[in-house]
Amino acid sequence: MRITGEKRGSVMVFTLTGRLDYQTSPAIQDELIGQISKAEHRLVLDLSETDYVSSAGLRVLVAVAKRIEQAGGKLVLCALREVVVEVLRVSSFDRLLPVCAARDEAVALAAA
Amino acid sequence: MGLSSTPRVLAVVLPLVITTLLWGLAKLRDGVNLWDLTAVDAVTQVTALYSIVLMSTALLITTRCRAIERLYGGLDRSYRLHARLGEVALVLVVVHLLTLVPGHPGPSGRSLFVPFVDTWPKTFATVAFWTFGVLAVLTFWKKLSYQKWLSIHAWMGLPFVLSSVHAFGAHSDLRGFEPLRTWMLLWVMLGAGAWMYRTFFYKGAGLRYQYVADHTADRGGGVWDLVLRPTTVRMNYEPGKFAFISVKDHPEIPPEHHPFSISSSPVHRELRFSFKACGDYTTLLPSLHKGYKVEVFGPFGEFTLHPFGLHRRFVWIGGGIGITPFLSMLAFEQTNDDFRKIWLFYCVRTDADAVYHDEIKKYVDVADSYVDYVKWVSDDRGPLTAKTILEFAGPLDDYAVMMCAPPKMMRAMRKQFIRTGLPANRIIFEDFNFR
Repeated sequence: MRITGEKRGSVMVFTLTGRLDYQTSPAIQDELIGQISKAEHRLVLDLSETDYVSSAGLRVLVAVAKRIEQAGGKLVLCALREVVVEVLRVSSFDRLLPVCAARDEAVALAAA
Repeated sequence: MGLSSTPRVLAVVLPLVITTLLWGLAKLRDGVNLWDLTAVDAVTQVTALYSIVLMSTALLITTRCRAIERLYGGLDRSYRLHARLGEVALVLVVVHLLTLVPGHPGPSGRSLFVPFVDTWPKTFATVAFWTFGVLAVLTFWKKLSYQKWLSIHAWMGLPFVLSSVHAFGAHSDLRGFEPLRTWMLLWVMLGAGAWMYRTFFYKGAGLRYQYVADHTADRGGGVWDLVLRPTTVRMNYEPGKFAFISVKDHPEIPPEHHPFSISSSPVHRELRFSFKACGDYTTLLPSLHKGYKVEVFGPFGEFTLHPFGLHRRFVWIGGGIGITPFLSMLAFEQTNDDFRKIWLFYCVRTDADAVYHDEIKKYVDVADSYVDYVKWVSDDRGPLTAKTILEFAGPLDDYAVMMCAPPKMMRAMRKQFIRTGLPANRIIFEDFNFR
């Protein structure tokens, strides 16, 4: 899995490309937690290039969301593919994590 | 249990309906008004025909044919039906004989029960009755070892053949009305063929896979793993299935067929069975060392996820050694993208009984599906209930329950889930009881 980031005002936007699963999730979690440690507390995860999210991937999203919440920030997901929407729906994580259809919308929500 | 019972009910009832219709047509053809028949005469004739059809169905089930297994909802369910059909057929045979007593010569129709004193069709019937009776008594005698019981029970086909010969010799409708004769002949041939195949040819001709023992592992608490390696083509199976194994050329383990639940993932080449060493055969299995040949017959069972394809949320309940099929399913969940939300309850009496706890924990961490796992120790927390499960899982919609546990526990849990409003066809359980 590849992760790329760009700064949009006060919001850091990361695009995750590939599968977020048992094998790739530790590195992604380290990267995102590292960014929070650098005082990036408003994050958008663009999942338009994410092929699949497994249970390990969901745990990463929850861990990052919890860490950001403790820091008083916000995590927003955006541009989810159908397969990822299904994973969030089945696991009921769509009730825990804010999800936007478009990146700009997600940036605005994270910045608010 | 669980899932739709309509196909298997139809598969039993429809042949009886057709038999009744053909019998009625035979009477009409002979100019007999059905309403003029005495109830006793009607019962005598119909019970004879029904018992042949039901015995034939019971024998067909024993062939372990995939299509028949599917029709009756899995092999263990088929075998439960096999037992019920056998019991009903026995009752029908007794009723058939009792209805003949009043019109039969001799005190209490004695010649009905004594062979070789009447015509040859009646002698066949008498011998069939006594053979059926003796075999039935031995079938219900639980003290017999499984293999002895099986070898005796295998002869149940004999009274079926004898009573069929009697029916064709004595039943005027069978002789005189071609459609009924053809229909009943079909059932007799199916039943007799199934019995011959299962009793005499299955060991040599049944689909089997060649494996060798790799190792056995003591999991504690009397629970063992048996790991086999294929020598040629491996058996493909769905998680949740079981298979029969037969050990070859072992000095202590007899080459009998015994069913075991598969606990490995189908993506692995090794085949693992998990079992509790508590019977004559299972206590011998730990001595199965590396290299011994093992034939594997299978896979069987319908305790799999595919009947629940429309559901993505599952409650899995494994009681004691009943956790075995879930180990296979959980291992498989590491390697598929068919995301599910699973609540797994591993119910044991004491903490020491939770011999697969560490393995489950390992799977849960790496499963593709999202698994919430609870080890439930009943000595500490009391019996697990549907209410407790729903408290853990939160408000659930669109979910299905799979259970593999002691029968008493499964029956209780099933009632509780139904009381919560869960439709019965979303509860599936397997008890692997073949006796």
